[in-house]
Formats: sequence, C-alpha cells, structure tokens
Amino acid sequence: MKDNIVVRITDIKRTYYMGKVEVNALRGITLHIARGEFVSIMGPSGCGKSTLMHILGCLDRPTSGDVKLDEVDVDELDDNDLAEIRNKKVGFVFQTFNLLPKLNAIENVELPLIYAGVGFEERRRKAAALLETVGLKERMYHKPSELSGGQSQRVAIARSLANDPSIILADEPTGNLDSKSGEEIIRLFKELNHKGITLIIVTHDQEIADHSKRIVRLKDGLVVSDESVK
Amino acid sequence: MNALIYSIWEEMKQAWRALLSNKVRSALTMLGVIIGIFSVITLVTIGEGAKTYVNDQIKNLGAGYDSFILVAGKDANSPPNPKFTYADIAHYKSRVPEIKDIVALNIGSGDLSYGKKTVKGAAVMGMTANALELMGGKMESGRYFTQAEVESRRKVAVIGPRAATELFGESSPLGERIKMGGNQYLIIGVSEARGSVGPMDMDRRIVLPVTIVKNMFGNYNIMRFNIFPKDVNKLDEVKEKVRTVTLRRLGNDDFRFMTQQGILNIVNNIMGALTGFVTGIAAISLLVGGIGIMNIMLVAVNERVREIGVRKAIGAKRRDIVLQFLVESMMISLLGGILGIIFGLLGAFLIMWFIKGTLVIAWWAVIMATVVSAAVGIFFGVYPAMRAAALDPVVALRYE
Repeated sequence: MKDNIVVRITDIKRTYYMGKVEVNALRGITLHIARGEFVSIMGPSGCGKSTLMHILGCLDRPTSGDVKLDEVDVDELDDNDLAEIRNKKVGFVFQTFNLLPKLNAIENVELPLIYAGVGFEERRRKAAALLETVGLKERMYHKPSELSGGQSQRVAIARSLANDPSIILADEPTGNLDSKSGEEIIRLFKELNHKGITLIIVTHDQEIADHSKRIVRLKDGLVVSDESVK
Repeated sequence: MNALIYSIWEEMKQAWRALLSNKVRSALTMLGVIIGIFSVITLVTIGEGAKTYVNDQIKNLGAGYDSFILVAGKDANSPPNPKFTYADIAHYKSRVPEIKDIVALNIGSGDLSYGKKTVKGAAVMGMTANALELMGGKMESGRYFTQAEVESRRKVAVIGPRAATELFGESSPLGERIKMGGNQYLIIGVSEARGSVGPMDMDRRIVLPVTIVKNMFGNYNIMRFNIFPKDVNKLDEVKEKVRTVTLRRLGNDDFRFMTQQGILNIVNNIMGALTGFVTGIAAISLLVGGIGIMNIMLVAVNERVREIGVRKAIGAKRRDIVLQFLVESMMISLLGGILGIIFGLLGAFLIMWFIKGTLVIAWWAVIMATVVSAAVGIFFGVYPAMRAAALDPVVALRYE
C-alpha cells in the first residue's frame, strides 16, 4: 500500500555559520504531512521557516535528521538526484515570482519540462493547459514585464505544477501583491488543493494562514504548535 | 546522447536570445575572434589565389609538369650572360638520350611597324619550330615556322592577334611584311589570344625563329631551354644529367634550373612564412578574444546569479547550467568566427578583384576557422560555466 504521508521529516537540525557565529536555524523538527493537505508554516522572522522550506524543497540538506519526500530518502541522494527531485516532486512558488524576464509566460512554464527532457510539442501543450488552469490563456506570449504581479504569480504557479509535483512549496506567495491579487492567489491555491494537490505555504500573515487546513507554528527553530484550522 | 543533443539545442535557442538582448556587448566581445579569423581567412584565401595564379603563369611559360627550364645566370639576381647556342640542342640530345625534345627561347622587345602604324614595345620571342606543339600554343590563322626555316634563319614571323589588328585592322596580315629594327619580316601566321604572362602581353608579341633573335647582350646566344624528358617521372634524373653536361660544356656553374615544382615551392615558402606570421597574430588575437569572452561570461554569471538559483530550484542539474553557459560562450565565439570568415572572404574577394586574380576559397581554412572559433568559446567558457554551476541554490535565490 502506498504511504499516504508525502513529507516525513524526523528530528531535523540545521546549523550554519555566519562568520564565526554558529546559527542553529532548526533545532529538531519532526513533521508529517499527508497527501492533499494544505499546511501553513508560520512564525516570526528568524524562526527557521525559510530554512525548513529549503530543506523541504531539497534545496538544502539538514545537518542531522531524516527527510523523506514521497517515500524517497533524500539524505542518500547526491546533488544531481536532488535536482531531479526538485524538478519532478517539488514545485516552488516564490514571493518575488522569480520568472525569467527574457522568456514569455509559456516559456517560463515550459522550463521545468525542458529540464525533465520533455519534447517541444508535448511541453507546449502541457504549458498551455496549465496557463489555462490558472486563468492566463490570453497572456501566454507576454513577457513578465508585461504582466501584473498577480498574473506573474499565476505564471509561477503554473510553472510549479509543470511536472505534476508531490508538493507545492510557496514562500510568502502574496507578500508582493496587493490585497485583491493576494486573495485571488489564495483562491487559486484553494482550488488546486481541492483537486488534491498538497500545498505548503510559508507565511507570517494570519489571514492567509486561516485559509489553510493546518497551521504549524515555529519559534527559535522548534515547532511550538501544530493544529487544524476549524 | 540524443537527450544531450536535444538539451544543447534548447540551450542554443536560449543563448541566442541572451546574445540578442545584449547586442552591443556581444558584438564587442566577438571582436577579438572576428579579427583573428578575418586575418587568417583573408591571407589564406589570397595565398590560394596567388598559388593558382602562379601555377597558371608557369603553365603559360611552358614549364608545365612535363618539362623543366635551363636558364642562363646563376640565380635570378645575377644578369644572365647566355653562353648557350642553338647547336647545344643537338649536343644535349646526343648526350642525354632521355630527352624527348628541347625548345630554345630568346626574349627581347622591339617596335613593330607596318606603313604608318606601329606597335611599340612588343615582346619579341625567338623560338624553335617545336615550340607551338610542345608549349600548347594554337594558331588563329596561317602557320608556324618550320625547323628548316629556323635553321636557314629565314625572316618569317608569327604575330599576336592584337598586334595584327593594331597594324592591319580588319584585313589579313598574312603575306605582308612588317618592319622591326631595320629588318623586314614576312608574316606567316597569327597566334591565338593568350593574355599576359607576367609583364609580357602575349597578344601583342612577335614570334621569330630563335636563330634570328638577338638577346639583350646583342648576340645570338640563347637564354633559355625548355627541356622535355621522354618520361615525365624521370624529370629530376634528366635534370641532373643536363647539369653535368652543362657544367662540362660551360666550364662554370653560371646557369640554373626552373621547374614548376621549384617555382611553386618558392611561392609556397613565401606564403608559408606569411601564413605562419599571420597565424601567430591570429592566435594572439584569439587568445585575447577568448579572455574577453571569459571576462564577459563571468559578468554574465554574476548578472544571472538569481536566474541560476531559479533554474536550479526548478530542476536544472549542474550539467544543465554548465551547458547553458558553455553553449552561450561557444555561440559568441562561433558567431565571431563566422563573421570573421565572411569578412575575410569578402576582403580577399576585393583584393583579388583589384589585382584581377581569381578567388579560390580554401575550404580547409574555412572549416578550421569554424572549429577553432567554436573551440575558443568552449575553452574560455569552461571556467565561468563551472562557477555558475557551483553556485548554492539557496544563496543564489537570496541574491539581490
């Protein structure tokens, strides 16, 4: 039987050095996230939520502890395998969108498919369908500079979905948006979650977190609360 | 393998855009490669043209692959004081039986006149009767002179087609007598148009039996023999025998040989030295150009740290990033190389057009230039590409 737990991290610690100062960003975090969940990770700045997010997204490795993503033991993988995990199993959505400015919307969405080695026609078709899902059918050939913040974030979400990942990681996805666009993005996330996509959002905005189904609060590198939203 | 070719193709499309988005910078970066490739291509192309030109000229002179020339004078700089005589032809033939035939040649110049019309400074060529056949000439009208006429020193003449029109207009010159240096010559033939050989206009010349043409020292000695061996493959062997006979006959070594290969060797040596020199300059230019490319690629990596972070976050492997920057630097260099080739061929074409030579494209040089310019881009792109690929995605994503 397939494990229903998609993220399984056990007692992870992450220590790094800023000059000679030792920073214990994460001091022993255990977290299980099931398929189809919509989790908010909250906490004041410096609580370690970005570090946690990087480890969940396989951009970084913990100093100690186990990370299992979709039943794959991440600790045993080399850089190339991690890149493949990021490509296939993780979709990133950033606060500043991080679209490549020289590529238009559809080409930005195609990028993860290029790295996955998908041929031109299939990847065009898929990228177009994803842009339609996020409501940007009319803006496919626009450059990021010709898109509003909300539209850019939609392109980024379409990009994160390109390889049908196991989890979507969103780091303050509404942080650079006005409240109306922010609400639209949250609505889009809820729709995606409704379709069964696992979402993990890092935010310090309580209103946003209230839209999710579960809130995990961090403080000083530890989980201080983990509760469902009514 | 297919996947690699496919990703190279994808990277090429993206690299092309990166180049276009920075047109001025890309063009300036290419300059070193453009200049390097341009200079080599121009020189090599001119060199090939020169070789072809010289080859044609030598053929016109009659020193084809099937003969060699024995000429008075130790080297090209010493004034030839010819001691050869018409009688030497029989002498050589009897001493060196491998000789098929010998053409004797004297060259001078003179003014031709017929009535009031004149041709000034015409080339005067004294030749033997076998010259027409052996040196590949053709008659437009009339006939060439015979051996009997050469030996009896008859004053008969074959003239070039332009000399004929200048002196006689539309009417036939055959049977007419023209004057040169106080003597009258009966025109028995007009040769076909042949253009120029070096400074000599073959179409305005007069060809006479060699026995009646004085050399520049005012005597009837012969300046040059074109010697045709029976077996072309034994050219060098026959040449050595002729050398021995000549040394004994003259009692000194005031003579020299010219062969097609020998003349070509001289041309090749000159071109080789020039090519070597320009290749050296081009190598320096390519080195500087390559360092320029490396420099710009390092700038490009720094400008795109965040992009690299994003690409890594969405699944680009180290190899993908290396490939991206390598393809970009290769394209800058290759494009520079291609522009250099185009400008080089254009430059060579203009020069050849100016000196009325033929453009001979040296394809080996074009292919080499393409390969070398691509290689320069790859070589100097490795370090920036490795730097890009080594970036930590977390740090790169935070980069402002």
